[in-house]
Amino acid sequence: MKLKLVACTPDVEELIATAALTTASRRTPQQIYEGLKEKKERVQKILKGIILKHGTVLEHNRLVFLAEADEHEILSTLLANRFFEVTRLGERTWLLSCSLRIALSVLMDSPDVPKGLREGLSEAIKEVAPTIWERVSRDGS
Amino acid sequence: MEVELLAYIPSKLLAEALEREGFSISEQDLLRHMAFVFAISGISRACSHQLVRHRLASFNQQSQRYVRMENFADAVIVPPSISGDDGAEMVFRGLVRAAQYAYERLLGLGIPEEDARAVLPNAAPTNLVMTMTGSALYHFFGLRCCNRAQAEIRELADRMLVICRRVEPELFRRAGPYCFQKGYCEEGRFSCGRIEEVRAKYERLGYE
Repeated sequence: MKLKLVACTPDVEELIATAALTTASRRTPQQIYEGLKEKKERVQKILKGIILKHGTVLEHNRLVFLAEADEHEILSTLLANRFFEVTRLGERTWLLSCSLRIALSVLMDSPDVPKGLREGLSEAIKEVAPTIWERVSRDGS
Repeated sequence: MEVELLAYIPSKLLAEALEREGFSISEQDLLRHMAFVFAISGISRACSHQLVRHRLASFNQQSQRYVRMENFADAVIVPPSISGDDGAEMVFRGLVRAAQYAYERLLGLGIPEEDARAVLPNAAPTNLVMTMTGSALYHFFGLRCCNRAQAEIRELADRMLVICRRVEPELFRRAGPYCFQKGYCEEGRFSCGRIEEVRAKYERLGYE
């Protein structure tokens, strides 16, 4: 199985921080998001402090992949996590998408996924959410 | 009530990325892979409670455990049926003031916010971040733009639909209450009976 990231919602890490702060702030999410724009260090500090197992803050995004895989590999992927969305584009080509939470959950909790899925998800997380990736790698998960 | 679209994947970007690889995709399939991240503030807890029943979505909501609800009586959301009736509004305001008094008294007695909130009314204001895919939004609009939906969540759904139609006018052209999407009403004996009027509204909403 081979994955290629073709699209992703913008500002993945800023939105994780916005969602996290919304739960414990009097300010509106609109104000929080505006306040975090262009403040990479502040965003990184918030992301380093959140508890990753409280995973809902990781859901405000979408990673969309072009996947080369056979039917068996796609079935195994869907069985690993029912929140993947899959559309068949060709005999061995699929559009596959999920949130960062689902991608991380597969990496951490599903050892028996098709070869290539873990690598594809890892590369995408490194690209769109480097601070989260650094935490996951550091924790040894 | 304030609603803002914080982020989404433009359909053009996704369709072009697929075209470069030699593939095409239907609008219906495209919607399943697109996420829309909304910031919603100044809605009532009653409204947010209806909102979170939409399970194919993601939410992060202001906590009443970690955020003290100071002076909420001035910020409560008054349903239009109550604000349009002097007698009803007097009853409503009286209860809200009593709830604020009880809340502050409980806090003063050392009761933590997470327990004192038990006396807060459903009209207390709240903020949240919500993410839905395009297909989940179609279902949400189908149910909540309907005349049978409660006034506040219907207003929220209408505002979200306007925003979606501004950024993706073609993709959301068929979105709206189910009578607009399907051409007939599924509400049976509860139908508002005004399908033509509703369909005319959603032909135009957000395009004018």
